[in-house]
Amino acid sequence: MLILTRRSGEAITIGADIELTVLEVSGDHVRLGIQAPRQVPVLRKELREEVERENRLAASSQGRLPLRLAGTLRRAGIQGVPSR
Amino acid sequence: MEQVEVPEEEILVFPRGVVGFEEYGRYALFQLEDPMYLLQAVDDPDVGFLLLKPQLVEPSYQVPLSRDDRVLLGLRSGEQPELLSIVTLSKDGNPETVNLRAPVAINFSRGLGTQIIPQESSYPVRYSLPVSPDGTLQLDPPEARHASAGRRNGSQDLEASRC
Repeated sequence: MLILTRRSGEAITIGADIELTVLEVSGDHVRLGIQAPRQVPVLRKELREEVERENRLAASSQGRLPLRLAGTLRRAGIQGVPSR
Repeated sequence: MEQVEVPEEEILVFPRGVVGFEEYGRYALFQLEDPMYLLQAVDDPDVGFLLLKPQLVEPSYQVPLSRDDRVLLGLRSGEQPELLSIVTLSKDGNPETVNLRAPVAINFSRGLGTQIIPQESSYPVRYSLPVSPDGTLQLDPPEARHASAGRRNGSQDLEASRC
């Protein structure tokens, strides 16, 4: 792991498109400002991990779908209209 | 295994994939037995997600979309995406929980989708689905009837467009 020391107000860049700024340091709290391209999701790590874990569970459980459900498979049109 | 051919124009593109499945960017949406949908990766039969409309369990369900989400989905101002929440089955193969924290959002008119993860939310990742002892979903309590009527209209719209 690369370790850098920064003061409040200073930043680092990751590649050409990502910038991480230390906004405020107070006790054991650090406020960070992040600029990244919209294709790069920025999330608190524990939230990303929780969603990823559930997605994996959901994807692997999907195969247990009883045949009576899978048997009625039919294509949904894509010109859907929002339900609200 | 059932094999289905999906016309190119019905493929939904997920530019960021689905969290944990970033390598899969092309999906097809199928309607299963009401109220379930299947979001199936076009490039791997083992990657798929069961979905249902979150309004069926939370009639007032809403999720904040960031500007990046809106741009990613190609939404014009005033347009809203269709929201679908990912269902996890129990070991017995019955619907068990639904992820209200991070729904899938689809803009059907552009064929674009993404998984929305708001930074803050009061909805849980594992919301227990109301299931009867025989394992079937119990989604029509009186307070959900209004949402249910809306869903039926939505389904009709989906169907009509196939013609």
